[in-house]
Amino acid sequence: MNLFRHFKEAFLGLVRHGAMTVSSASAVAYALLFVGIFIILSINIEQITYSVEESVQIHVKVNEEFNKEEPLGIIYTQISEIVGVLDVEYSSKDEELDKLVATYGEDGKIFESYRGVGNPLRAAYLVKTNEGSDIEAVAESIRLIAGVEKVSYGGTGTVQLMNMLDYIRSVGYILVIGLSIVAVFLISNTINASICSRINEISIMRTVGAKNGFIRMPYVIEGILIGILGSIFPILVATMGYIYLYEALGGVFLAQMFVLQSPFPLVYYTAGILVGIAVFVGLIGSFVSVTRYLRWQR
Amino acid sequence: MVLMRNVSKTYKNGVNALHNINMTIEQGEFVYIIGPTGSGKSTLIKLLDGEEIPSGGLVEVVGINIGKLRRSKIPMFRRNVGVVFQDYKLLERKTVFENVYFALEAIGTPKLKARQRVREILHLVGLSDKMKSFPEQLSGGQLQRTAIARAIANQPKLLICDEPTGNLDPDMSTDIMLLLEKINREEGTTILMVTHDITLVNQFKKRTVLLYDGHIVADLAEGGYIKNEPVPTL
Ligand SMILES: Nc1ncnc2c1ncn2[C@@H]1O[C@H](COP(=O)(O)OP(=O)(O)OP(=O)(O)O)[C@@H](O)[C@H]1O
Ligand SMILES: [Mg+2]
Repeated sequence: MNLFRHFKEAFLGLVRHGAMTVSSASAVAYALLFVGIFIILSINIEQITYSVEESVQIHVKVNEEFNKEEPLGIIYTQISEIVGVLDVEYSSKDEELDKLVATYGEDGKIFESYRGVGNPLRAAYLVKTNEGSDIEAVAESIRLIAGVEKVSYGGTGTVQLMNMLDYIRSVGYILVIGLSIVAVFLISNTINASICSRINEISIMRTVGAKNGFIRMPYVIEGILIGILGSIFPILVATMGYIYLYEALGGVFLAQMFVLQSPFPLVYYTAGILVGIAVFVGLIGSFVSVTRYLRWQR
Repeated sequence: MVLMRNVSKTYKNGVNALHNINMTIEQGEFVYIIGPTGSGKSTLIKLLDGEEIPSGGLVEVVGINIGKLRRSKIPMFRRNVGVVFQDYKLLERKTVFENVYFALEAIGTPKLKARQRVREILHLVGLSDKMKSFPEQLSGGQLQRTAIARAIANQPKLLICDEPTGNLDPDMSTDIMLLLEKINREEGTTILMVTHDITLVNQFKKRTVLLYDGHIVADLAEGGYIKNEPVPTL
């Protein structure tokens, strides 16, 4: 088809409604900025949640009297049956001692005297859960099992943090969808204005028998261009911002446990997704406008 | 070319614009449609170019049944029918050449062929020396000739003119009539012209269909009745 002509008409539309183009493109830019920040945040949260989940496990001390029947006794069975439990691992008294020694490094040697029959430590089960948020509930259930002496885990702080991250993520999804809809609406509005100012041209095209696809094309291109224009600023800000932040924080957030995603290729993905959303939003917005107009009469 | 059998048209708001219209137009004919305001002339035109569909009866244009014409088929159908309006409907920002070219571009005519055809058609309507002028620089007659050039650029089989001389003085109107006759004669285009201008109808004698209140009350071939429907009490 006559692509050159369609692009020329599209640019003409953009220029003719310069003010509207700028305002809708900048509104799209703000929307996409949120989306960009969310994407980077979300991918990092995913990573952090994963590493937190990896490191958080429930430590279950077994009462000395029940010890003889384990490792595969009644306590093991009961823990395994709790909903949300992913994995249960047995750790003998000697193994627990090894870990204690290791924790203290060189100084840990003094604990070596515990080794043998008089080992005062307890054998333990190390329990992993499917979801980080399950930990509290699973720990409660384990506490009720007969023969369990003590249940401990990474602490409510960790769990709360993970719950919060989860929450941020769901709010983010809703925000992204909401903002995309707003962007579609804004672009659709601009295209409506563009259509209005060329109502005569469209009506002539219809009278002489131009196909709908031909009439529609410049407007769809115009919508996509507005979307792409609107994506430049958020891509720059999100990309540069994250690279800067990553350098400044040294690749970790607060503590060593929270390792940030390396900026490359993350920023490329983010830029790609933003352009994709921009094109999609421009396409839908303009398509809706023209189609609505073309359906309006025979 | 055009066949209307027992055609009626009722708009959504309940207005009965046409009743029991029967009319046949052969290829190459030149026909006037006259009648007072509100008699249904424009409605008749809208049925012929597919803008409206009949509420009853059969409308066939170039062998296509308008009542059964799907939306997606309208563009291809329209290429058979040229339309000229009283207010020209030219694009102010385009020159005479561009206005005509626009119509050919819109239906995907290749560039070179389209340019060639525009020159040809502007020569036919006598506007070769005005190709680069903008609408605001032209007289009413020249504007209407541009509009006619645009309507026939694609060589439609049927040319419909809705009061083409409505905004023109008598001299210019005569000019336009001479041009339409030339198109009818040289290009073999069938022409259907709606007009209020009785002087013109008497000066250039053609078959004349008289609409009154949505009915055809007379269908005269150059002064002689060829058909006489029961005339409603006027
Ligand atoms: N789109 C429409 N919806 C409803 N009623 C309509 C519509 N178009 C026309 N009408 C009505 O149909 C009747 C015929 O109108 P039409 O425009 O065909 O008359 P006309 O002969 O072209 O008049 P004029 O000489 O003033 O142009 C009128 O009563 C008019 O009000
Ligand atoms: Mg009318």
